[in-house]
Amino acid sequence: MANAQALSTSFKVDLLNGLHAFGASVIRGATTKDSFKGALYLATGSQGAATTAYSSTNEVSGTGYSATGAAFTNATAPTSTGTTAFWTPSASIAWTTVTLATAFDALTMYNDTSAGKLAVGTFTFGSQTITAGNFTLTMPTNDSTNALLRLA
Amino acid sequence: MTEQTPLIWTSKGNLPIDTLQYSTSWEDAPEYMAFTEQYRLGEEIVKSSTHVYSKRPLAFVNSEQGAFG
Repeated sequence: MANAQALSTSFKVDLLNGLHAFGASVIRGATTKDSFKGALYLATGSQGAATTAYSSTNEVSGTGYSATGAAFTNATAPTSTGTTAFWTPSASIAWTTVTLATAFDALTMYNDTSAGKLAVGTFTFGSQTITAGNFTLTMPTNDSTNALLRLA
Repeated sequence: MTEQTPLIWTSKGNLPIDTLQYSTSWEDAPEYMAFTEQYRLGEEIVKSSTHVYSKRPLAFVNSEQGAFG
């Protein structure tokens, strides 16, 4: 067995669990996991890599939709397979009996527990409108090749 | 025996489902797959739902470890 230069796979999982802070961090009040939410954004919006936190600017509005969006279900802790750490919400995120008449094409996932509602990322899909119906985002398989969040 | 007409909730309230035209469509893009179902009353869409399957991760990081200089 020879030595090999590598990032520890456990470190990647630890990042997903917030166990390292190379810069100034925050004092966490509890060891419980954070709550994450998803908000929908109009196709005319500009969500993306520069999005740092939840914002109501360009968020959709309509019957049955509440500003700040809906909560993700998080029943499965981050884990790893091989050298890839990953995490996926454990259920679909859905809005039922809503009317969203203005086209939207993005969902921004953010940390609802953090004081600044810090952004995790933005997922885009084709432009959609919903009329007295449901909008559902089905999550991929939670594994090292398909998971929603992967650190490879 | 009472004959019951199935109703469905639409933007026009509860309507007999038999009076509506039902259609479905699929969109298969590299990042997602979307299934849309619509009910029309004449030319007007009175109910539509979309279900999106995410095929792309929200974040993917190729983590690399730098070497000492």
